[in-house]
Amino acid sequence: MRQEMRPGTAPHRAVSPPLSPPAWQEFVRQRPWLVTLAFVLACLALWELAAARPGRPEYLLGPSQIFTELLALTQGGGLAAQVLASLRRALLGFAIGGGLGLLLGLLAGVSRNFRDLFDLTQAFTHPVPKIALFPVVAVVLGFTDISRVLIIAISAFFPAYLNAVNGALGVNPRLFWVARNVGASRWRSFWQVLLPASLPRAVVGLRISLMVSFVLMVATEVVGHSNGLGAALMRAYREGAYGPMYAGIVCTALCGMAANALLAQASRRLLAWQAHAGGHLG
Amino acid sequence: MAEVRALSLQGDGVHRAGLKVLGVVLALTAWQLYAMASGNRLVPSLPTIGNRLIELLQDPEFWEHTASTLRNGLMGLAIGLALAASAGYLAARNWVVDAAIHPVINLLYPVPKLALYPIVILVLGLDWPSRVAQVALECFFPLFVQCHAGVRAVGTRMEWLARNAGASSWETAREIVWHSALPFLLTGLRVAMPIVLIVTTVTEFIGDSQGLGHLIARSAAFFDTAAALSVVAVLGAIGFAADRLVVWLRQRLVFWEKGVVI
Repeated sequence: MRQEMRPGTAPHRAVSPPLSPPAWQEFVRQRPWLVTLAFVLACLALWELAAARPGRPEYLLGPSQIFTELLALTQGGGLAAQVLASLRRALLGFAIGGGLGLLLGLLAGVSRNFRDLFDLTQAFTHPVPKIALFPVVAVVLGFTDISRVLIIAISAFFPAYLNAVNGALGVNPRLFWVARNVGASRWRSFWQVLLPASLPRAVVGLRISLMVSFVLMVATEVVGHSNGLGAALMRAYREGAYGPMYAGIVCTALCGMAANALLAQASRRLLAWQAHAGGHLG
Repeated sequence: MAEVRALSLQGDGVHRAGLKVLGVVLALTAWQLYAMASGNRLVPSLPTIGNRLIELLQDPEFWEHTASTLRNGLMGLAIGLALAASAGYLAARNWVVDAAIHPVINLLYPVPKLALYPIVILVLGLDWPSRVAQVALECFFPLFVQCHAGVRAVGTRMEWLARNAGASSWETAREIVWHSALPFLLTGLRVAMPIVLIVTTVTEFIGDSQGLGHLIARSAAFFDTAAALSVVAVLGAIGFAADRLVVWLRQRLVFWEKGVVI
């Protein structure tokens, strides 16, 4: 892995006589996480120093202050309630939008008629930033959880749908022939052949959907009156309560990372039988 | 399912086009029926939205908002792209930089960067610089991933060849790396375009501002959902045009990869 990640080292060595690098350099090269750690620690130290400077702006809190603030807030239990409210929205929207996107995408992948029926509508609706619909939906349904989850679900639908279509289109037709030969019903072919075979691509879409869900979770909470992390950190910002504001930001970041890591883990499990498991975002 | 696939190969173009149009007509009819059935002024019918859209298009104020949105979005995109391209290039060519920043960027990728908006406002103020910075921040990540992959995709042999021919590092970057990274860069742009629109719109919701997002929020606050939906349609048209533009650019610039469609 490391070897691939250093293109251009081979000709260097071939041209110049073997200037063997110092032992410590080779040691670090074998352990790149040491560099990562050093970089992160240096950044945190600089930040801490900047926050300790006498003339600092009022809103600049150091990492240690943020950490103590976070600890104090978690003990009250208020933060946990905000996190739960936010997570419920994001995950519900993701489950509805991502799930529907996956199923319809697979259907569209195998049925040309179905795909064509959706094609133009999808092409027109996909580029609309769905969050722009939020004020309209909120006028009709109110600034409620229903409108928030609806917007998150609509946003999460598209990446899941598009990647599922591509995944299903890429399935080797021989797999279906085999399934037909052994007399599998359409229903069984769908669940036992199509779904697993298109999963690697589809999972990439689901990961993008999950990220989108978290972005939209914050976006829908920032607008209008709400509970949840986005609303809490916006309120803290307005009130100039910078400690809680940073605590909210850290919690939001942790939620996003945790959800992404969980889904990556789940997809690794699901795709363990496939050589190219995982897939990259983007 | 196999026969569906086999049949589809024979499907004639007219039939296909008809189905596609039918899909749009069905969607629009569904909306119209919903609007009529709800009998609610807040759910405007299609003609109402159309009329409101025409009114808006004749309003100079609307064009000011559009220009503001486009300006902020494009500036943010340009800044994000410049940062992502330089960081991506450095990380892909230098293992120390890569080891330092790549894991951090991977970790921060799934974080909703919108949560940082209050800090951005505190630093840059409520005016347009904070919006531009937020857009740049948000589209930096997908662009970085693509730029990094693009610079990494340089063929080792190509690089050896260039070095043997005595090319300087600048010449290598311009003649070799640029061409291998370009398709990736355009893919990154295609991913970043919708993000730019989303972030610009959300940042315009917040605070007393201008731009299409502000126009939507204001119209909705006055219960003028027809106007808000018209602006949403305009945003969709901008997104559609931007996407087509990137695809067209790709066809023009990456002419050696004709067959591949992103």
